[in-house]
Amino acid sequence: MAYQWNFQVVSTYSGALLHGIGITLLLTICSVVPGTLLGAVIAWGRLSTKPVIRAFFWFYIEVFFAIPVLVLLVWVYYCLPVLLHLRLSAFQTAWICLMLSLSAFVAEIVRAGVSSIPKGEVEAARVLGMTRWQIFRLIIFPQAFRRMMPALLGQYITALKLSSLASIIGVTEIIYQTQLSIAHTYRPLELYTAAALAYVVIVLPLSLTMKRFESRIQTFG
Amino acid sequence: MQVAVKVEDLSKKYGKLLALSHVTFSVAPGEVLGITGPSGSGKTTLLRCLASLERPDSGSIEICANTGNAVPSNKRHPCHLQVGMAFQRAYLWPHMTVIQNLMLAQTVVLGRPEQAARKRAAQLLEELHVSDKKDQLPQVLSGGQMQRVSIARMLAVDPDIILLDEVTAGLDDELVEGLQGIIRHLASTGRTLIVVSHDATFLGEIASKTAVLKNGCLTIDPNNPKIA
Repeated sequence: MAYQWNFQVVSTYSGALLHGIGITLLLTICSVVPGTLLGAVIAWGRLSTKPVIRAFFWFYIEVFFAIPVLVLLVWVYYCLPVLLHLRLSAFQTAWICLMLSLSAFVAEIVRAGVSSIPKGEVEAARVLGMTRWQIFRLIIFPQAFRRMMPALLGQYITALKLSSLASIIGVTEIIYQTQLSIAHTYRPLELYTAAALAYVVIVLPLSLTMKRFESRIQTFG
Repeated sequence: MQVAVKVEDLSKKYGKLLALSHVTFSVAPGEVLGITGPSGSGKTTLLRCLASLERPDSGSIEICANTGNAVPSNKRHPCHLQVGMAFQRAYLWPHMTVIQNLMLAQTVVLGRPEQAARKRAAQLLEELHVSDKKDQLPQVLSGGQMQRVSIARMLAVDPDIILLDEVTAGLDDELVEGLQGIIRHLASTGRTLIVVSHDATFLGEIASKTAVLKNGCLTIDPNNPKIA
């Protein structure tokens, strides 16, 4: 017997789903903004001329590359209270874990972007008498930013999708609200379809922006 | 005798490789020193040391400007007040148009008003026959055009000591002739030039004295009548 679709349930639970979308966006913004800033600091450390600083930030990056976000979430949420008597809310745990994980990836993107600027361009500026700050602000950053943007936006999209893992510790984002609605209605197909569409609607503009940056890079190098 | 550049006992190693070995010479204001030598002999390293892009292991470099630039001393390194260098590769900034490449250091380093910087940039582009490219991005320029823009960018900040590293690469005979005229004009205004090139004819036309660098050792060329 063919499945009888009933999208009425989506409309009935639209309030809960919209709340979930709001929490997902909030969680993503809360992790992306400080995660990018932290990533820039880590990239600076990776580009340092001092081997000790470079090694420290290399280790940081490798650790957060290695640990899956799901493991990090569970560990911070359940182990930290036992180890340090530090109890964070589910939302705090989620944004901190997503931020830390994202920062490692952002750091590598920023490092690669800055390193991609030919040394000769920097030296030409140095010989012309420009200060290190002027060289960074006027020569390195404008070019590196353009090159980094597609990769950064890709990473932000990944962070947004990874925020769905926060449902496991009870953050009331899209997936959590979907599962809650399913528990009430026994309509997983309609509600998961709606959740998938919600992600598409959020991600599509970001994806299109990414494409625009990519085409600009092809034009200007 | 007045001295613009005085190099004494300069040595530089990269690991075990000796790039410069006890190099000593001096150049007077308005003089053009031509340096030639085989690839890997240390010519570029010498220029990089003079431009403060490399730190020598031993020896000393004295740069004495004969024409003062009215630049506040806190704006740039004292050495940069006086030394300009054009590289073997142009290294133009690809996110800026040609004229923006020439204006940037003028405005942020010399503090020149934008209008004056634009005027100076346009004048230099005219002299180097690339004025029709001023609003283009460097990517659309040919190798020779890029090299000329790079020279113009260096000249835009009016350095007293000018270092040119294989700048004739990619230029046709007519443009090389034009460059010779510019070098002679710069020397006549009291500027000191140190020119590195493989092109003996080019050096013969412009240099008031020439030297040969081989295995990091600078020796005076005995076959050149212009040798000091």
